[in-house]
Amino acid sequence: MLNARLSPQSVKAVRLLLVVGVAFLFSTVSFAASSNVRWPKATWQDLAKKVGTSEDVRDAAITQLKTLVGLNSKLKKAIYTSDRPLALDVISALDLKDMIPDLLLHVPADPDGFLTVAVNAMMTDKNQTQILNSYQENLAPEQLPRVSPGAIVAMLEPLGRLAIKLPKQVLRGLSVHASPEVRSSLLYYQRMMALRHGSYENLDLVTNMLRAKEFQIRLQAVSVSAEVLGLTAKTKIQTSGSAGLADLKTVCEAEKAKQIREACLNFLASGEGK
Amino acid sequence: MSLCRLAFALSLVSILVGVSAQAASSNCSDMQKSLYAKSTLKVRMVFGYKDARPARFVGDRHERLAFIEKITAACDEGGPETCGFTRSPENADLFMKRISISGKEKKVLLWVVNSSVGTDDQENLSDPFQKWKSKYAEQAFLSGIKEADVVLYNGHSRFGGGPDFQSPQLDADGAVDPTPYKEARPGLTKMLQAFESSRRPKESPFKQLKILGLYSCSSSQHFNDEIRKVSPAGFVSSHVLMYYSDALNQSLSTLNAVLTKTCPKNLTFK
Repeated sequence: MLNARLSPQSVKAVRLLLVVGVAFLFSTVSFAASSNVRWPKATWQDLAKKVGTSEDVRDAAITQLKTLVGLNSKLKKAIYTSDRPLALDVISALDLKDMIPDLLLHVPADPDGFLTVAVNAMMTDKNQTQILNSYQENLAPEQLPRVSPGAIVAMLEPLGRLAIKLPKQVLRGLSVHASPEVRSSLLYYQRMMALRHGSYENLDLVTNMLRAKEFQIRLQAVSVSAEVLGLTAKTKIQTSGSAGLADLKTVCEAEKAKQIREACLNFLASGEGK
Repeated sequence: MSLCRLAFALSLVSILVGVSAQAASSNCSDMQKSLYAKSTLKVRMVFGYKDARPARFVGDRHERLAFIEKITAACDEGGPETCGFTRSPENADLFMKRISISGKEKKVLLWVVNSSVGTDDQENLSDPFQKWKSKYAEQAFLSGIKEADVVLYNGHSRFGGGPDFQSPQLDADGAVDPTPYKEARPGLTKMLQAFESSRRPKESPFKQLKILGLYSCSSSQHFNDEIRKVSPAGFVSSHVLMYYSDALNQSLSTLNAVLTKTCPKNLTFK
């Protein structure tokens, strides 16, 4: 179930963010090409690699991909092969929304989150409820052990951006997850909820992460706490469970490594200045 | 060209190729002597800031996850050695594995660091933690040049101004602006400074960094000549644009070569 109503603008913003992004990882080098360009012998895999290049080449590659017979079934099969990254790029570049139900079934086992990112890229006003409900079901405590860290990281992104309030029980499970990447994503989500959407609930979970074993998580928790502290001091908003300045100073001063201690105190200073 | 001339030309080419291959193999063997001399191998895998401007998506967080998923998976008999790493409980970026090289046990310390906090470039720009993360990733790369045995970079070339660990500089249309990267070449300058400061002319050439891999678009053209002036390290680079999953696979292939005492594919020497 969705706990927040989404505006069409916010969904559009997510699409704008992601729709081109899945074909993202070519460098900023551009090809000299015109939109009339064709590659007569190119396979769908060859064309997929062109989708992430300059606009002209991308458009030409997409046009040619659309003419390939039986492409959808090839893409479905390719998700299980080493061509998976290419298939996901093509699915989102061609905006193959009819594949979303299939893709959602694969989200829990998505090892690196790229499949989930492809689903995020195809989110619209019409299908958002289906996608976000599916994500929330995946994050339920009884399902969570079966979901890969990569998928959790990718699911939390739109949930935070679209201000979907997750139940405390779900957040608690994520805050003690074995994967530091999942806990980092939870901090990202909590930051988004507090600073972007003015939702200051469950900040005690951020405070708990100040005691994480990994210095990276402690630092991120200090950074988020300091930002929240700076904002609430300025706006005089009352929060419960968030760390106070003295708590954060204690955490920073306890850091043994000089560089980490300094970075930690810098977060405090920048948070106070907000 | 007469057949006789063609045969002569072909034999000359084959001699030259043979000599060059022999030199590379001799360099590789010298490099390996130094690489496996100590009981610990220090390897850094650093993902640059992989934005997709003009789109706001940033992908390095997921690429790092893909890499971690591979290196922490259980090893298959006869499969690659890029598996079975365990993560340090205190450092989320540090992974460890014990290997055997010529009957001697070695400890491999592998740092896997990425540059972005989240997948939205716009949001990252407003996050103080992003500034730290970019600086931390850059330091992992630059200090690796001074302290590690193998440093691999997987990211953007930024028109020759990379390696880059920060959100890109944009033009008025929201695309990456090539001018500051082409003019100042900030990433390359810092990389060359790191090489210069780690240089010990009296020491054997492979005493410091043994292998540098730059898995970014056209890295050979962008960086090879400059790096060659300051470092004898084996260099793995690319002549072409790189698709992200190819770059990932090639990084893993180089890591596998290091873990199995073989010469990495496409490794070149000064």
